[in-house]
Amino acid sequence: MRFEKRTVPNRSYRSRIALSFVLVGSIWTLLILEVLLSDASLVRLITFAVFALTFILSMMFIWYVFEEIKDEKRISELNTVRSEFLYVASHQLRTPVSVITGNLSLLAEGAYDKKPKAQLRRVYESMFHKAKKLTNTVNGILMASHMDNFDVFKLPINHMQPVDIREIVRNICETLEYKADEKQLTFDYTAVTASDEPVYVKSTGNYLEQAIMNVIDNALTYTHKGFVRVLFVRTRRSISIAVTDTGIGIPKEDQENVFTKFERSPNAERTYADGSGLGLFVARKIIEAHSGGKIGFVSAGEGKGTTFSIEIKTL
Amino acid sequence: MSNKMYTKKVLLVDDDIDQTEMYKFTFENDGFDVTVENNPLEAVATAATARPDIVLLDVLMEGCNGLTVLEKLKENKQTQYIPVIMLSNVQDKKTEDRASELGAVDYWEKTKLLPNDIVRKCKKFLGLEGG
Repeated sequence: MRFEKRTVPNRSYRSRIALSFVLVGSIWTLLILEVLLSDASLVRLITFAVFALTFILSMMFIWYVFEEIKDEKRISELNTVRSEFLYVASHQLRTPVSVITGNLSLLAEGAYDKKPKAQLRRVYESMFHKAKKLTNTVNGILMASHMDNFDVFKLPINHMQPVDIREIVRNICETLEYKADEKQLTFDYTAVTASDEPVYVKSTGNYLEQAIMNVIDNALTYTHKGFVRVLFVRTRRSISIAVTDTGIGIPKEDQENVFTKFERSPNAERTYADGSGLGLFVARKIIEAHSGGKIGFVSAGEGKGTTFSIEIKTL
Repeated sequence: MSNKMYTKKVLLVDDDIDQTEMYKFTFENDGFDVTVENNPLEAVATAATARPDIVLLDVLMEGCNGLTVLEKLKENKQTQYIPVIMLSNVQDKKTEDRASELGAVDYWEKTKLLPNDIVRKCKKFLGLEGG
């Protein structure tokens, strides 16, 4: 997947600025000479009016050139982000494809015919696992693309309904329990509420579930040993979810980019090469689209764990 | 597909077990002696012990990037002369150029090659029959 970067050489806008200064300077010099050589007051008046007009036009021109420079820089930055995304996406999309296609080619040509049944099942399992992974990656990319213009409150009114957020969090924890078991991590879910009544927030269940899932799943992905603790607390007007882990932490220098699309800190890349840098971007977009929605994190740095917290107003 | 023993050794370094199982099967089916290393941090030690005729090395791996592994293989006296071919899904000119600078003999893209194509290309590289 090769592509050309759309960048404009610096020389082009530098020459445009220089040209504008030369033009303005020449006009001003001519006009000053005109004033000095003339006695008529009307000529002076017109000359000053032309001065003023020229000054305004030149300023507008310079402003326009600077705006163009800013646009070009922005395009260049977007190209860098796109390039990084393609680097990761090409790996994430192609890895499952190469396993599925490779195994299918071996099956088709009969290379696996003599394989014992148990080993053959393992081949089918690996293809199924990769197909699921491919689906998740494609869904993640589509979701992130959708999130660029996402506002939950602009959805049709019938999409919005009270959803029991405590139930959502509990279900997510149950779904992800297998991952903690595989990695032999302690995985706790605690709900602190006054009663067992449902806790409603106004949302669309699928989006909210996706956002919370991304945060908890991340904690499990980036924790090798120790624990991941999910604490759900209901206060008078809102709920908070704190996800604390003893994982790889977030280096200080990477903390400002945690929610930026496609951004991944080097320690996250080393830990999990298949990450897309989309999960937390999507999570923030969804959470902040909810009433009173906030998402943040605290990490003492690399190797020191992280706590992500989510807050949403209740109905 | 023959089952002739070539007595050639190949080392597969890739953190994806599904991939290495598939490639291992294909190489073994064609008579190669295959060593698999799923932990890139252990790749140099494994190469030094196994002394393969060729190393197929992935790029994006958990724990350590393939380019770093390549650099370490080329720094180590026991492994520096083993030819390394990058076998990756990363299609990026900068990565390819860097791999070449560090001493990789070639850069192959997994999705463009079926397992048997990879075996065929390795045989060709090693000067074996049918390449």
